[in-house]
Amino acid sequence: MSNLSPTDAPQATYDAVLWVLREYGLARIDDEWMRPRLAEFSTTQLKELIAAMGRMQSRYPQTITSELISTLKEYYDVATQR
Amino acid sequence: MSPLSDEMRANAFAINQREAAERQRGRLRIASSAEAPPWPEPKPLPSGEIPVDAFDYEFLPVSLQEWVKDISNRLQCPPDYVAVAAIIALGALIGRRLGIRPQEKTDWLEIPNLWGMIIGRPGLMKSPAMEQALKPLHHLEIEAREKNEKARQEYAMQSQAFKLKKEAKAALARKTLTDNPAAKVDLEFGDEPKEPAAIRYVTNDSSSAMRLFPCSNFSTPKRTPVRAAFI
Repeated sequence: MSNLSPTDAPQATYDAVLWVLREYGLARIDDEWMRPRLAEFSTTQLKELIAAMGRMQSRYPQTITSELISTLKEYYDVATQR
Repeated sequence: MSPLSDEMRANAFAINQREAAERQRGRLRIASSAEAPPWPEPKPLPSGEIPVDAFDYEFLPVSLQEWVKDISNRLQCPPDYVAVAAIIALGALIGRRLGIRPQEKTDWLEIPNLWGMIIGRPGLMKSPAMEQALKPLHHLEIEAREKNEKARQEYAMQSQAFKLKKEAKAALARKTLTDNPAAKVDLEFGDEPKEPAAIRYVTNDSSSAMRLFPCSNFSTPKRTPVRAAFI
């Protein structure tokens, strides 16, 4: 995540989003705190976030659900559609 | 799957638009290596060096020329290396005893402070050349260290003697005054010995703290040169 590109969110924002989703899961994906931060992400960061969620799913099965990952993937799809 | 809310969809679309604009400006980092253009062929590093004049022994005082030439011949190193170190060592010895008056009719006095640097590829005998040129300075440093140690010991003895003398005189005065409060007592202890300032010629520590330390705590009729192979 080093060498941020102009469209990347700051690393601290990425880390915070990752932590909140890990701790609270889908319940926080569409709240007042999350929406503007997720909107700062670049598609590269979204891709990395989805990959990170996939890696952590076995350790946090209660919060990182398949539904959460699917929602993020859908968000990514909209962000990357041409 | 949880459907995206309108707001989330709008945000995702905004990301899309933002990246499209950045892509047009050519500023976007290319995410995958598949999209990345191939690396160009590496270009060789520039090898040419700016030509410089050869070292001229005329730059040196006559008394140093043969000495520098001899070291340079023996070590098979460029004379520049020896000459630079020698001039800096001399500058350190002269130190504040020589200044420049840029204006004839004012008291403006500048004390020159020489800095030298030896640049060369590894194995070109930079350090040995510098060591040879600084050898006389190292001898002076050893002598000065012995003198400093002697002076320090002498000071310790004098200081102790002064303290005892002071205590004895004070005790005597106390006794005299107890016997006769009107008596005159001698409380003149003389001058207290002062801690001698150590003389330094060379330091290996180039930090500003250590550069200031010799100036404040040591007697520096000379400027203290910093000797280091790499600073």
